[in-house]
Amino acid sequence: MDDSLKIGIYLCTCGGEVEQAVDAGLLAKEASGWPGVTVIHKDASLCSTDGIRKIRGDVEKLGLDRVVIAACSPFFKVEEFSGLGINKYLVGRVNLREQCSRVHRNNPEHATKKAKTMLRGSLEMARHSQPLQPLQLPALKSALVLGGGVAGINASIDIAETGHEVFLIEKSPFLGGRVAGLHRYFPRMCPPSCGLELMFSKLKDNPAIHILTSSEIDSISGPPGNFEIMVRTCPRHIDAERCVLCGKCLEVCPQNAVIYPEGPSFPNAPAINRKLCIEGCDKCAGACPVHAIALDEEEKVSNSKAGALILATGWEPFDPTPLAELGYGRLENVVTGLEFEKIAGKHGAFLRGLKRIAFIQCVGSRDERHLSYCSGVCCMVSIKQAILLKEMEQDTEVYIFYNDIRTPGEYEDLYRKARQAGVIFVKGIPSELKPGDANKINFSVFDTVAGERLELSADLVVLATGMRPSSGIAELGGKIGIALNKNSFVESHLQCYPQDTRRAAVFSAGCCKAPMDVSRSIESAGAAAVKALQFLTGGIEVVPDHSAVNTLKCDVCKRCIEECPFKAYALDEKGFPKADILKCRRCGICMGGCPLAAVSLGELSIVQLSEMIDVFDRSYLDEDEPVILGFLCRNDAYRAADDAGLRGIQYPPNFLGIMVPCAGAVNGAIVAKAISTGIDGILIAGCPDSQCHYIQGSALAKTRLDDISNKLREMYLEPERVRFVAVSRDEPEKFARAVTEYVSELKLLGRNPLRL
Amino acid sequence: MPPYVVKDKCDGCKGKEEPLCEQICIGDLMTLDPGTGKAYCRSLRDCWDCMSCTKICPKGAIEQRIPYQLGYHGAKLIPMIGTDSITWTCVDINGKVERFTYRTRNKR
Repeated sequence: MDDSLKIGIYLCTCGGEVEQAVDAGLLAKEASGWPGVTVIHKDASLCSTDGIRKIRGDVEKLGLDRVVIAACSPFFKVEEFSGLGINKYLVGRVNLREQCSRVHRNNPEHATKKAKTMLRGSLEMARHSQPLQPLQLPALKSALVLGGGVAGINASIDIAETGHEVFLIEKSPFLGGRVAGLHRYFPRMCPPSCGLELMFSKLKDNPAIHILTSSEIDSISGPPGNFEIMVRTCPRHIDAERCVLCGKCLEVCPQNAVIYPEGPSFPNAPAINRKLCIEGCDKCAGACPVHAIALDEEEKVSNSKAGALILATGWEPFDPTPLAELGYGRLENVVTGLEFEKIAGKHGAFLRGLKRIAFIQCVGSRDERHLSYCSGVCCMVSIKQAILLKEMEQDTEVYIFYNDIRTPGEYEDLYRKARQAGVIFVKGIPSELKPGDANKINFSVFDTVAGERLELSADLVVLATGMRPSSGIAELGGKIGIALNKNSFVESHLQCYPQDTRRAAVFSAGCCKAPMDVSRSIESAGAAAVKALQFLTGGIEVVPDHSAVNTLKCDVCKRCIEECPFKAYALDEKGFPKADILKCRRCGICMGGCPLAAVSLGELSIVQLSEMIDVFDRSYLDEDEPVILGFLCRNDAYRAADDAGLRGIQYPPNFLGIMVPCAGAVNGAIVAKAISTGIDGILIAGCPDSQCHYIQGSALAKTRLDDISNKLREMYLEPERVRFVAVSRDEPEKFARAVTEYVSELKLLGRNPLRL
Repeated sequence: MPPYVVKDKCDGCKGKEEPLCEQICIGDLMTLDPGTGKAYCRSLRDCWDCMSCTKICPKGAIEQRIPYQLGYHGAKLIPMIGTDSITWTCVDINGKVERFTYRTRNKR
C-alpha cells in the first residue's frame, strides 16, 4: 500500500467525556509511531469552530491525504466533519465516546486498549478509502402516471404545475376512476362531480399534460430517469371535440357497443367497443348528427419517455358472489355499496319509497378466506349512505349491522351524526338472507350487545364490500419489476419510504398501495408527486458509492444479480454484472454474497475490511480474553449500540464494532479471514427480519453464517464462533446483553486455536 | 477420488447457467443436474483431486474424498478461504487435526 500518505489523527475528548475511561494522552503517544501519521492533535471539542478551523488549517498547510477523527458516533456532527477541506469520503470516524468510553467506564485500562485497537483499525480503513465525487446524471423532465383516477389525476396536475411534462395513461376510455361513479363523498358530503370537474378543467388547461385513454403499457425499458415506455392505445372511434352527447349512437347500436360515460367524465364523449360490433354495421356513424364517428380508426402504439413513473392503478370492489349465504346475484334487492351509489344518484325516488334498508358491514373483509385486511373505508361509506337516506326521508328505517365500527379522527363526527339521525347500529352480522314476500329480504341476526336474536325483513340490503387492488397490477408489476405485498397491493416500506417501490424512480399513490378513501388518496398523490419531482428537477445528483464489481476477480456466477433485492444488476457489454447507479440502494447485499469477494461498495470495500482486520491486535486485552468482531447494521444495530453508549449501559471491552450498511453486506471471506487469523468470535447484528430496510439482508446474513458455522464444525472448530443476533433500533439493552453473553460463552470455549 | 456434493447445501449458484465449480474445474467435470438444480461430477474417474471446486464453492457444499495414496478412509482436507488467506484443516486417519493458514494473493 501507498505508505507516503499523510494522515492526521484528531482526538476529541468531548469536554472530558471520553477521558473518563480512555487515556487520550497515552493514545496520542502510541499513535504517533504508526505508519503515515503526520499530525496528532488532542482537543476538548473538535466540533467547535476552533476545532474545525484547526483541522482545516492542517489539511491545507500539511497537505493531509486522510483525516481520522476519534470522537463521538459518526451519526453525530456529520455536517461539521464533512466540511474539512478534504473529500468527506477520506475522513474516517472512530466512535470513541458511544462505543468505548461510555460503555466501559468501570474499566479504564481495557477501554484505552480497545480505543487504541479501534483507532488503529480506522487508520487502516482511512488509508484504503477512495475519494468520491458526486455525478450529475441527466433525468428527463417528464413523468408518466399510470391510472386516471383521483390519485393519478392529482399527481399529474401537481407535477405539471411545476412545468414538467406528464403522460397520463388510463386503461378505460374515461378519466375519473371509481370516484366518477360515486353519488357523494365524505366527510363533506359534496357530490364528486364538483371536485372532478375542477380537476378536469385543470387537466384541460395545462398543455404539459398528455392524456392517453383506453391505453395500456406494452413495455418499459431504460434506467430510472430515462424510462422508455411503449403505450398501446385503443381507438375511441368518436371525436370528443365534435361530440355533443346527444346519445343517438347509443340508441341505434344493435350490440350495446357504445360505452357511455356515467358520471362526470373526461373526455366527455362515449367510446365504441369495436370488438362487439357486427361486421359491416355503421348505423351509429349514420345516426351521428355531427359526424364525429370514425369507425376505421386503428390501434396505435406510441413511445413516451419519462424520468419517473407514478403508479396509481387504483382498486376494484370485492365481488361478494362467493358468499352464497348473502344471496348477492341471486336476490334482487341485495346490492353492493358501489351499486348503491348509482341508485342514490339516479333513482332517489325509488329509495324514498323503501321502508327499511339494511347495511351489512365487513362483507368478505377481515376474513382469511377472502380479504384478510380491513379496507378502512366501508364503515364510513355505509354511514354516509345511511345519513343520505335519513336526509331523503326521515321515516326510512336504516340498520347497520357491524363487527366493529372504525371511524378515526374527524369521521367520528359523522358516526355521531348518523346515530342522532336515528340510524340503528346493531353489533352482529346476519347469517343468511332469504327471499320474502314482495321482494323483501328476510334474515335473522344475533345482537351481541343486547344479547337477543332479531328477526327482520328489509326492502333493500346493501353489502359493504372491501377494496382489492386492480386485477391488472400483477402483470403490470411484472413489467416494471416492482414487488407486491401478500394482499397484492404495491409493496413499500410503509413508515420510512411510503411512496417508494422497490424500483428507483417508480412511486405509488392511491389505492394501489393500500385501501384508502378519497382524501387520503389525494394526499398520497401529492406525496408521490413530490417524490417524483425530486427525481426530475435539476438532474440527478448521485455519489458513485454504489456497489462495483471487480472484473478481474468476477467469475460471472450471477449470484449478485439473483440476490439483489432491488434488481439493480444486469450484465454489461463485456458480460460482467454491473449495478445500475440509480437502482442501487447501497445495501451491500451483493458484496456480502459474492463467493469471490469481488464486489465492493464505494464507501466500504472488501479491501478496507480485510486490511483493518489485519491490523487488529488479537490479544489487545490479554492472552486469555476473547476478541469479538461485531458487524453492526447501520439502520438498527449500530444505532442501538450508540444508544447503549448514550445511556451508559456497560458491556465487556472485548467487542469491536464495525458499521456495515446491512447485515447482508458481510462477506463470508471476511468472516473466514477473521476466524482463520485468530479472532475468537464474529457477531453480526442486524434488524429483525420483518424490519430489514433492504428486505432480505438479515435473512441472507443468517444463511451465510450458517454455512460458515457448518464449515467450522467440519474443521473441528466450535461452530459458536460465528453468531447472528437480531437487534432493533430501540433495543440497546438487548444488544449489550448479547455482547456480554457472547463474551462469557467464548471465554468458556477458550481461545481460537488459530490465534498465533 | 472424486468430489462429493452435499445436496442439501448446494444451491446451484443461484444464477443457474454455469455454477462456480463448473467454471473452475480444469477437467470440465462438474455440472448442474438439470433435474435437481444441484451440481455433480459427471466423470468420477477423471478427477485429479485438485480441490478447486471444493475451495470455490460459496456454500461449502463440496467435500473432497482423499485418494488412498494420501490418506485412507477418515482422512480429510478442508479449506476455508478468506479475503487474502486460506486455512487448511488436515485430519489424518487417526483423527489427528492440524491446521495451516497461508496468505494468498487474492486481495485485489
